[in-house]
Amino acid sequence: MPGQIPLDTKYYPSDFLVLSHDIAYTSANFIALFRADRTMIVDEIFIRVYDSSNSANPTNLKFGYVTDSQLADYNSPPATQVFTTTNFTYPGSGSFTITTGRTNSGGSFDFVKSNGVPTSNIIPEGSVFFLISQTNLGGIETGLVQIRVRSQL
Amino acid sequence: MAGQLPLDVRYYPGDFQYTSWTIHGPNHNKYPVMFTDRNVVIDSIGVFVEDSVNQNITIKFVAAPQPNVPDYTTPISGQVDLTSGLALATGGTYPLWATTAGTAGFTMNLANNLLMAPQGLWLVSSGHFAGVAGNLHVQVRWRSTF
Repeated sequence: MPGQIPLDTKYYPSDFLVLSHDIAYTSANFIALFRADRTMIVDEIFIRVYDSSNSANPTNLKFGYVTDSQLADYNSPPATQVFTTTNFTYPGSGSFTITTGRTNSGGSFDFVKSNGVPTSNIIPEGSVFFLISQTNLGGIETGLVQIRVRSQL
Repeated sequence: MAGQLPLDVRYYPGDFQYTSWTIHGPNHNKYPVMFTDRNVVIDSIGVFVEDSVNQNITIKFVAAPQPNVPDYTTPISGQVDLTSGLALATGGTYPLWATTAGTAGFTMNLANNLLMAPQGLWLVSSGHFAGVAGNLHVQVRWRSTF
């Protein structure tokens, strides 16, 4: 069946999307969440991790992005990366303690702000947005990352 | 690089989204599917299962108000059943489509099998996976334009 000519994404009207992602991994410390095929703005992130056994092994998580050419394999942090959030720590007690930034109940947060403006929530076209853990996620079982992104600047 | 002011999601135009999810076995009794950061209507929930599941397992979808999401093995405080349970088995016909459980508070239109999910709610899959390894795929159609 013949298809239709693909539309270049630059001709898309504004995107307003929610992305949900499963973070059910045990040892990897780098995972791509989405690639920005056009410049995107991240407005909101919710994150939730279930853990019944990791209280003795806190895990630091943060988000960042790299350009395509800097993308590394899944267990090695990219050599050059632009972090959009600071570390926050999962203490294994059922909620997150975010080291910097606004904390909402239940493990949701937004970006670190400077004078009301996030230090970096613009994901340039041709970049991969990722979640990175600074320590082993061995005790974490499953979780949810839900992201609001838009392309309307 | 300086960023932009976050846009409150109430200013987003209507959402028409899929949320697709893979649930890994075994023993994941509770699993977050999505968080409603605005009021949404769930039009359908479909469940697929790999054919290597070697015994019947069941799954249903429940709601828990923020911040009552539990760890993955314990019951949810304030849990409300949104759907009836689905029995998944090798050789079954898939996808299975969840139907509303008729629980007051979250059911908007039983005749059309719509679920009204208010802002601040976790949609959670609640499955019985005891001793079963396998992958389930959950696909949710939802919207915020009523």
